[in-house]
Amino acid sequence: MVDMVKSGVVAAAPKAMVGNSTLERELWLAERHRQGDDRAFDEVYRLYLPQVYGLCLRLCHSATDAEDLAQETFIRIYRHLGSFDGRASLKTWVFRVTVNLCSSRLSRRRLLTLPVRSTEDPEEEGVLLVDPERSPESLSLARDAAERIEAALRLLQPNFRAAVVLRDLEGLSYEEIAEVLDIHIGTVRSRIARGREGLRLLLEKAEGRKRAVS
Amino acid sequence: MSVIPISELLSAYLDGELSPEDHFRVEKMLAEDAGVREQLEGLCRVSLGVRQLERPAPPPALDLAQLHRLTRLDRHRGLIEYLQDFLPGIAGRHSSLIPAFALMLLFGWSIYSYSVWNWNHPPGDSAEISGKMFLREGEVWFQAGISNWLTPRPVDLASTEGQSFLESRPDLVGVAKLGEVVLETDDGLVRLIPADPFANG
Repeated sequence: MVDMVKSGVVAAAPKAMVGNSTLERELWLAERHRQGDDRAFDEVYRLYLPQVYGLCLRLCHSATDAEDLAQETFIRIYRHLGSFDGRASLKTWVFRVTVNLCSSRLSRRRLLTLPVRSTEDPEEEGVLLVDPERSPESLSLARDAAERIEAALRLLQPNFRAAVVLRDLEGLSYEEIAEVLDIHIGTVRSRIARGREGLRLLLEKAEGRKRAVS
Repeated sequence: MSVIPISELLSAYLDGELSPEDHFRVEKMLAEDAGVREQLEGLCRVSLGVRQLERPAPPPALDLAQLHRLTRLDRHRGLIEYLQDFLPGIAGRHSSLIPAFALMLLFGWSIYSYSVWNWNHPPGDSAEISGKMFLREGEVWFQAGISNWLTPRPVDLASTEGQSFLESRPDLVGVAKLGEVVLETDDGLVRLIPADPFANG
């Protein structure tokens, strides 16, 4: 096998497989990986590292965890890239692995995050109370808009946060999000809407507090 | 038909993920209701704000060389890691089954041991010659433990060939005295047919 790789037999894609189709290219990457060509995995790594790391960071809000999870994600991708069958796009597949790992990490930490159901604001049911560093107060103290949005995202329930991040930051379609999160498309629509609504309310409140302080 | 809340309709409208009918419905609501327009603007601001967030750069620690080192290690971990992950889990989840499993093993081993002992110490006619156990079935003696589905080669001890066979295998002289015997030899399965038919029994 190594000889095949060295001699370029594996690395050179057969003409029939070099098409314009992204799916064909992705399947070819998986095939090369199956045949022992590490360059296929390198390509996947370079292609998706920024997105995977970004997603981990947005979902877990800890640089250390994100680094750890991104590494774990790629090890898992390395193990299973050969079994990629093209039923979903490689991007969706990679995101699914990432989200699953982040979810299990978050569920291990779930004792730190207590859902708050305010009777005054029933719409805020997706908002979490987490450690003091991530309290709603920190949201109003955030200096610029981007910081405020980041802080508000941290206060969203992980389910809603994942849906909003996959849609607005990663640009996935509702169908792709449904595949990544393994939920019905109607649930995707609902989670995105509730996530955005939660963000809107949080940002408005923060804005109100800021005005009151000034 | 399920009723989709207005906030969901507006959010999906923003993403261009509505059916033509729902799209038309939203357009109509937007044209008629200022409150709905305001709600859409709010959602639009939020969505735009999230879209404008910068993608964080991966830290230098996440370099490909480091990952290659890990994947190389990973290649060799395979089964060990699987066992390390899997066995404690099984033991933890089903700890109450371990004594039952041990008892089953013990019971199985006892049955097996008894069968082996019984095979070597059968009831009825048996004889032990030159360390080999023979069992009598009707008029024929069979060596214990031989395959009974193979056809033995007949060796007529009355013939010259039979005599020379017995001369070459002096250890079988005692066996031949039993009568007609089926036994395993270095040459395969043989049936010794005695020279004197009255030698039987």
